Amino acid sequence: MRCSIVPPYLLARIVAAAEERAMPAAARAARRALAETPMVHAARRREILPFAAEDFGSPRSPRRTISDAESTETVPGVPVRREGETASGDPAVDEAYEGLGATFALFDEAYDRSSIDGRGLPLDATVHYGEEYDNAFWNGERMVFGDGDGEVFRRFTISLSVIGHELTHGVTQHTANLAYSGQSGALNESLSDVFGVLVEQHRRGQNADEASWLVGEGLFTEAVHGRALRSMAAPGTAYDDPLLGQDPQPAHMDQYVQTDEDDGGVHINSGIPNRAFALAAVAVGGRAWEGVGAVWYAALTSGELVPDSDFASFAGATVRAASRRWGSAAVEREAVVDAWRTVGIEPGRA
Amino acid sequence: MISVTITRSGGVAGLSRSWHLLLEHEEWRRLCSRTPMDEEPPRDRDRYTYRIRARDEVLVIPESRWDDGWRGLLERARPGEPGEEAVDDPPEDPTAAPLP
Repeated sequence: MRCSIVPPYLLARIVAAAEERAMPAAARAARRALAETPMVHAARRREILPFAAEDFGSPRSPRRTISDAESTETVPGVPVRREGETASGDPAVDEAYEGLGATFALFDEAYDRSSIDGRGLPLDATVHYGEEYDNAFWNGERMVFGDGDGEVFRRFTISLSVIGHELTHGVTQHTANLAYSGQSGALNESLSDVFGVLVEQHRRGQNADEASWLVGEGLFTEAVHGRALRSMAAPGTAYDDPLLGQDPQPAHMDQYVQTDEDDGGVHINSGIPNRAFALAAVAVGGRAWEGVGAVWYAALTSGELVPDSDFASFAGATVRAASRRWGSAAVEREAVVDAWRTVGIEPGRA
Repeated sequence: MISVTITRSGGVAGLSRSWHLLLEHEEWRRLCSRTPMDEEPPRDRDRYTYRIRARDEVLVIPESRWDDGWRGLLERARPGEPGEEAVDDPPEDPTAAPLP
């Protein structure tokens, strides 16, 4: 245990003041020191406990527990905010709490789905994972968010689309369970991007033609030449930076990338189905989560997909879902077919 | 000595980074012997994957198995560490190998 000359109450004030004044490095340093204070640990553990089974009420409202890894790589960490409690004052904790709520609201209100598993599963997240950790991930049970390094990345909870992205990995795990490699892996990633941006659009009340179609907007610091991690409307244009290089996402099947890295390029080739979704959503117009978003959700949960489904198989499932929703001669169905063909994919037949 | 390249790919951002260092042959053989065996595919999504290449051998290690021993190797490969040849490469250009 490291000793600190700064007393815990002062460290807590430094955290609050540094975050208020946008001084994340100082906040991080103070938060780490505070986390190493055993008295603080003990007090926090007494005050806030994780959910117990008897706490569960209606399955149509979220049950969120946000925990703090305190800059370690151990999960779940110390519970710091759970359902119904007031804001903690820690931006990462409160953004995670609000983001989980916004994601729950999209799936509940638009698709009548209660949480990740459709049965009201509690939503758990861990923030402040690792030291200056440049990532967010889904570990099969919970969402985990790093604070970023402050030079390239800000904290990962700052982007609502990233929070929606991670939670959607849980939805996919509980539905089509697409294998995380090659085309099925790129579909898995694309579905997380699709519903991640729809969480943002739903929260903001945006129509398809008003949306940015960016994933992870605001995540890069001002030092980076880039708008976001990915652009669904124009894959390959999200960033072009001396350190990061150029956004490698293809916008057409002709540029599909064969690589051994990144589980076969799951975060790269997702640009192809991402663009198909954005094209179809803008062509149909209106609120994307109500139209083409509902079709993509129907395809994901249709039971027609298998773990190694490829782009053409998924495209076929979306066209059949569009036929069921709008009719086989509807212009909206044609917009879905056209979108897939524009990115070089012929929708497969059942 | 043997030249080793460590490449980290994946993560929600999908950015790749590479580092190089030189190892004694004996140390490389020791590292190969502690490589985790194939297991059930992890349920993790958006985590990093590390690929460690030396000559024609490749070790693939998911972040969930990236323990202190591997972290130590990466620390030695980071730029600025004394006594090692350390080069921080720009990300690979994945468009260099498109489908025919």
